[in-house]
Amino acid sequence: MLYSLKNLWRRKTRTILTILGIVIGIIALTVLGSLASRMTSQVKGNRSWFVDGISVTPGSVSGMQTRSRGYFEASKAVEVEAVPGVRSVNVDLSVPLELPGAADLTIVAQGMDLSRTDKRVKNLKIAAGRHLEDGETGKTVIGSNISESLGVEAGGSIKLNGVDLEVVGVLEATLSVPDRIAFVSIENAREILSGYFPDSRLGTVANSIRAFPEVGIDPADLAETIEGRVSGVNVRTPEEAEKDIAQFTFIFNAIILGVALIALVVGGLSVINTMVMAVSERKREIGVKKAIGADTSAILGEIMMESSLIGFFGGLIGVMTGTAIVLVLNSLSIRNEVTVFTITPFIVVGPVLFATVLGIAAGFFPALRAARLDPVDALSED
Amino acid sequence: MALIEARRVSKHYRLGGQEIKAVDELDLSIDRAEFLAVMGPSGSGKTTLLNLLGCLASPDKGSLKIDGEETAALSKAMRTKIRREKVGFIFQEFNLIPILNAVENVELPLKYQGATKDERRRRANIALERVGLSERAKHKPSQMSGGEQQRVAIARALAAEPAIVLADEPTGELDTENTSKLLELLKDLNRDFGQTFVIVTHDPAVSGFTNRVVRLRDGKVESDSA
Ligand SMILES: Nc1ncnc2c1ncn2[C@@H]1O[C@H](COP(=O)(O)OP(=O)(O)OP(=O)(O)O)[C@@H](O)[C@H]1O
Ligand SMILES: [Mg+2]
Repeated sequence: MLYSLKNLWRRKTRTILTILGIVIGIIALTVLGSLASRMTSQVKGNRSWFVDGISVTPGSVSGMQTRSRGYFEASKAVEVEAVPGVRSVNVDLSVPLELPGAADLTIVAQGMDLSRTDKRVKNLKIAAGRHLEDGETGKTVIGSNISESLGVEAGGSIKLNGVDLEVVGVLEATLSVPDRIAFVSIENAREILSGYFPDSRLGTVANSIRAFPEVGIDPADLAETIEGRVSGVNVRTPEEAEKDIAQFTFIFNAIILGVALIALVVGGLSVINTMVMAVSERKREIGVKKAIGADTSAILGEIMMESSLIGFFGGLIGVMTGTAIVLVLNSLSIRNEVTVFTITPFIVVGPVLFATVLGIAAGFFPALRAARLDPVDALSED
Repeated sequence: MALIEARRVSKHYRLGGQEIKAVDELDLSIDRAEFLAVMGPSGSGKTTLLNLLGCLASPDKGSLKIDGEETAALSKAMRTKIRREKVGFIFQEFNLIPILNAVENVELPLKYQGATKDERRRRANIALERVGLSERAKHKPSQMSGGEQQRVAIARALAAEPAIVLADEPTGELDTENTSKLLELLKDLNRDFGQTFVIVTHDPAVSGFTNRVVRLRDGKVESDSA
């Protein structure tokens, strides 16, 4: 190995340039990889939030869809619950808000029907304090982003659209949607919403109903039944939500794969080029070694050891640089309460392995050429 | 039984439609512990013959027995094995590996034989001692004179104690003083350790060191003083 390092050092500039070629590919791989793993963890966090239950949102009878902005009477929930096969329903009213004191953070005040246990909320882990109880008003459980940017802990209070709320709990960070949600009772949500429309009476509006099927009922079938029986609603099954998420993940994985392929081709070709040059420069030496008894595997091993070291160092430097870039970007964006990248052990080890294997593979062809050299020809070379 | 037994060995090259009989139906037998000089004009086939004897190249025709084993039809891997176990090469241009120091160069054939690190170092040091270069063990080839480099190359050829040592104009790049010193060294090694030496040389002084001189012409043995 020391011998291979010395050999590589004979052509410093060329070796360094080749390593650099790999470094660039690996940087791209690391940065995009951490971006992807951030996305994936976000998607996973979102998953339990979105996928659970059949989502029923306001739609228009005329066919014009007004998905998230629309409202319907909470009494729709009664209609939905009456559909055979529906075990239970939750009624939500979510109100988008700019956070006072953190102007660039958009949050959602999520009004929940607290009389019903809602798995989606109960599944979220509390970092401090507790969940909301049935019948509580004027209280809120807030996501980690809200807590951080306002500096509010459990026991503190916040004001949303003029409504004062006591913070009874702070959720653990999920790196996804719930981090920016303030959970309140649906009555409080209506108050917060009415801050936008001070003159009108909002009565008992809601903008989302979650229907949970009875055991043994197919959610897709039930969604169809609901759509048929309840007018003026859009229905989304868990499967559809899954599909969206899967497509999203797929696109990101495709991008990573594309970058990996480019890194593979560019890095691989430059390693091949470098090693072919090294072999032709060292023809005579290889001839000598063969003459004094080096067999095919000894020559193969020597050349491939060098190319794998090029790959390894390229991978190592690339990952270190890429990780440094990610950490700098994260520390820049942390002020905006968004961490864009997540570094996992796989993102650190993966590219180094990838580059090393690439080096070994790219070294194989030049190594084979070296091993097949005729010693007499190689020795007469100069 | 002779150590090397060549019978009607031929090696022809085809160059632009013309056939060059580099070695042509050559007969030669060499005994154990012989010290044999090969001479002849340029192009007479000396290097080609040495390559055949050392299993670097395989003959087109004829029979070549080394240590009783027929080598003419052996595979590349088998010829490599014979070189590794039975043959030491000394080249005109020394051909040391520039990034390795003297003792590391000498260790190389032992490494290919699979000797352990300690064993390699021990035997390489013995070989360096035999050529009188123990103190230069850690020096790189570039830090040594031509004569010293060639002595390191001799140590490398001897390290694995091969039965046959083949040297192609080993003094070609040395001045007269170094040439005679080197030939003397080779002769001493031959006398002390009983290895067989085949030396291609243009140096007429070599006849002072040996009583067997084989002269080649056009790929055939022109005269053999034995
Ligand atoms: N690879 C080859 N291809 C074609 N012809 C070759 C090859 N190797 C040697 N020859 C020819 O074979 C003949 C013998 O060559 P060889 O090198 O054995 O001669 P030599 O006696 O060693 O000469 P010198 O004293 O110049 O080293 C020469 O005519 C040479 O040109
Ligand atoms: Mg010659």
